[in-house]
Amino acid sequence: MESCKKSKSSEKALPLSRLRAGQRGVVVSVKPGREIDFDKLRAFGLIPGAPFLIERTFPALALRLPYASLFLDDELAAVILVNPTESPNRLRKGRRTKKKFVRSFLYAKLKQYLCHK
Amino acid sequence: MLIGFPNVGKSLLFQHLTGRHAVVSNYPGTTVDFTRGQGRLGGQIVEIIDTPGIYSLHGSSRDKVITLELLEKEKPGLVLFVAEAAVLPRVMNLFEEIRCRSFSLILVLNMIDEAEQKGIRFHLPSLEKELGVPVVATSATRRTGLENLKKKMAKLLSSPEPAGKKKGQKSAGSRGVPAGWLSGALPVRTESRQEKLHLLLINPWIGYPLAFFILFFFFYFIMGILGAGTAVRLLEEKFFGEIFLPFCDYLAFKYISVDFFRELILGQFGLISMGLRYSLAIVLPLVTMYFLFFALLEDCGYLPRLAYLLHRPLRHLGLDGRGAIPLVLGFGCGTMGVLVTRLLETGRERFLATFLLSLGIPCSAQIGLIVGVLAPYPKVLFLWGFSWGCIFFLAGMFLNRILPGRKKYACIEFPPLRLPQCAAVLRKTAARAIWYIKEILPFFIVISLAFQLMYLGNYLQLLEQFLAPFLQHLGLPAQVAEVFLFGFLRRDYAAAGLYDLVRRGVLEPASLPVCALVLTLFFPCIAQLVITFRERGFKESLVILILIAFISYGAGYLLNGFISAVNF
Repeated sequence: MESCKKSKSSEKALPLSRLRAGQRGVVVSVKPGREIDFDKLRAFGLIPGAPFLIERTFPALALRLPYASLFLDDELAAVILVNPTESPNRLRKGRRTKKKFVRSFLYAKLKQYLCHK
Repeated sequence: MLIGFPNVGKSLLFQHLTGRHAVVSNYPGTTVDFTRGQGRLGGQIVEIIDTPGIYSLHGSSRDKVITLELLEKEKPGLVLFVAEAAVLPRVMNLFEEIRCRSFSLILVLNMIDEAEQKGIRFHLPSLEKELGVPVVATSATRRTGLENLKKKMAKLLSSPEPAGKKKGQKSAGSRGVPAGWLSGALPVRTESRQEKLHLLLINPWIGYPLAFFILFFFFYFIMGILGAGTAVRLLEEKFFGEIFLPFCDYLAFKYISVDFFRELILGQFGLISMGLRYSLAIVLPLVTMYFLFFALLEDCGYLPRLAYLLHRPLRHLGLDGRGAIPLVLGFGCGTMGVLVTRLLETGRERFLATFLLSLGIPCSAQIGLIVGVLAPYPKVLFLWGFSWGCIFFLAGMFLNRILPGRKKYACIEFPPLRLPQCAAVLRKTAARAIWYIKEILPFFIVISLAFQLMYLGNYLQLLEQFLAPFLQHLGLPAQVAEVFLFGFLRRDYAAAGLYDLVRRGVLEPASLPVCALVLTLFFPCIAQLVITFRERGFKESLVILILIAFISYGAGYLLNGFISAVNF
C-alpha cells in the first residue's frame, strides 16, 4: 500500500496525536493496520505528502486538509506519522505518558495521606 | 449510470435527469440499493441508474460490491462520474479505477457554483484534453449546465462506435492523475464566514449549549407543541374523533351484522380505531415534522458537527460520532432513531445503537410525563435519573466489551456548511413521509389486529395475571401490569397510567422510582419494536428483547432492594 512507504524524513516524524491545535505539518506515513480504511483516507486526501492544519484536539482531533475537513479517532491519529512544520517543541504528552503521570500522582497523594496517618 | 463519492449530488442530478417521479435517496451513505429511473434524452428514452456513493471500487463493503456488480452486469452505455468541483483532485483515484474499465465516461463537475465562490475556476477544454473524457460543469441545485449535460449524453449514446474503446486507448497514453494533485497547497486559515461558523460549532464551550438549545427547541416546540399539540389534535380529535370514526361506526352498524367483525375493525384496538388512527393521525404528523427538521439539519451540514462533539463519550459505548444522530433522535421518537441507525457503518454498531435505543432512551412524550409525575418528589426524580444514567452507560459499555468484532477507526468528514434549499428540503420531507406510510402502515394494521384478537379472547387479562407475581418482587402492586401493557402500545400512555395510579394512591412514593425506572428501561413501544424487527432481523431483535427484559427487571430489583435497605 502506498500509504505505508517510509520517506527519508520518517526518523523525526511524530504521531499526529502529539501535535497541538493550530499546528501545521505534512503527513509522512500511515502505519498499516486492519482497523484502518485506507480507501477512505485516500479519498479524503490524507496521504503522504499532504499538508494539514490542526483545528482542535478536544473533544476529538479535527483536521483541515487541502480538500477536506474531518475529524479522527485518537487511535487513528496515533498511527499517522507526520512532520510538524513549525514549533515541534510544543507537543502534547502521549496517551500512555498521561496515564502514567496521573497514576504516579495518585500514588504520591495516597502515600502522603497514609504517612500523615 | 451515475457513479461518484457520497454526498456529491448524484441523487439530485438523477432527479433532474429523470423528471419529477424519481425516488429520492434515503439517508446519506445508507442508500445500499440503487435506484432506476427513465429519462428523456433528445427524443429517446433511456434508463438511468443511481448508485450508492463509494470511495473506491475495490473492497468488500456492501455498497462497493453492489456498484461493481452493477457495472459488470448492466454494462452501462454511459457512465456519468459525478464529482464535487471544489475538491476534484480527491476523486481522481476512483475516476481512474472506473476509466480503466473502459466505459464511455463523462466527468460531471457538480456544485460548480460553490467552487467558483471559493475562487476555483476550471478551463474545461484543457481538462478534457488532460483526462481524455468529456467534462461538463453543472450545479444540480441551481439547475445550470443540465442542458449541456443532456446534449453530451445524447451525443455519446448515439455514436455507433462504443466510445469506450477510444477512451481506453487514450487513457493508456496519458496515464491519469497529474502527480501531486492531492498534496496541493493547504488553504491558509481563511477568515470566511463559513469557516468561522464551523469553528464556533465545533468549539465545545459554544457547541454543547447550542446543541442542547437546538434539540430542545426541536423536541419541545416543533415536535411537542406544533406536532403533538396542534397537528395531532386537529387530525386525531377533530378529523378522526368527530368525523371519520363516527362515520365508520355508522357504516359498520348499517352493513356489518356480526359483532365480532365489527369489534375487529372498530373495537378498542381495532383496525381503523387503532391501526389507522395511530399511524395516520398520531404518528404521521409527528414523523413529518420530524422529517422536515431533520432534512433541514441534514442539508445545512450541522449533524457531523454534532457527531464531533459527542464522539468521545460514545466511543465507550462502542459507537462513534455518527452514533450520536440516532441516539439523540431517539429522545424525540425511538422509532425514528432505529430507522436512522442505518447510517452507521458496521452491523455491530447498528446492533449496539438499536439496543441502546430500545433499552435506555425514553421518547420525549415519556420523559415529559415521567418528570411530571416525579416532580413533586425531587429525591425520587434524582434517584430515577441517576440510576437510569448509570444503567444506560453500564449496559452499553458491558455489551461493547462482550460483543465480538472490532470497530474500524473512525474518520469522519465535515461537509461544508450550506444554506438549505427550501424546495429540496420539502421534496425530501414529502418523499420520506410517503415512504413511511408505505412501509409502516401495513405493520400497524397487522399489530392492531393481533391486539384486538388478544383483547377479544381475554388474553390480555391472562397476561396481566401472569405478570403480577413478577411485579411483586419489585415491590409493585398488580395494577402496574396494566400500565406496562399499555406502555407497550405507546410509551406515553404508560406514563399517563402511572400518573393515574399515583393520583389514586395505589403507588406509594417509595416504589415510584422503581416503577419509573423499569418503565423507562422496559420494552419499547410497538412501533419501535416493529421497526427494530424490520431493521435488525428476527434473531438480533430477540437477543435485544431478552437482554432488555433481564436488565430492566434486574435493575428494578436492585433499586427496590436499595430503597428498602436505606429506608427511603
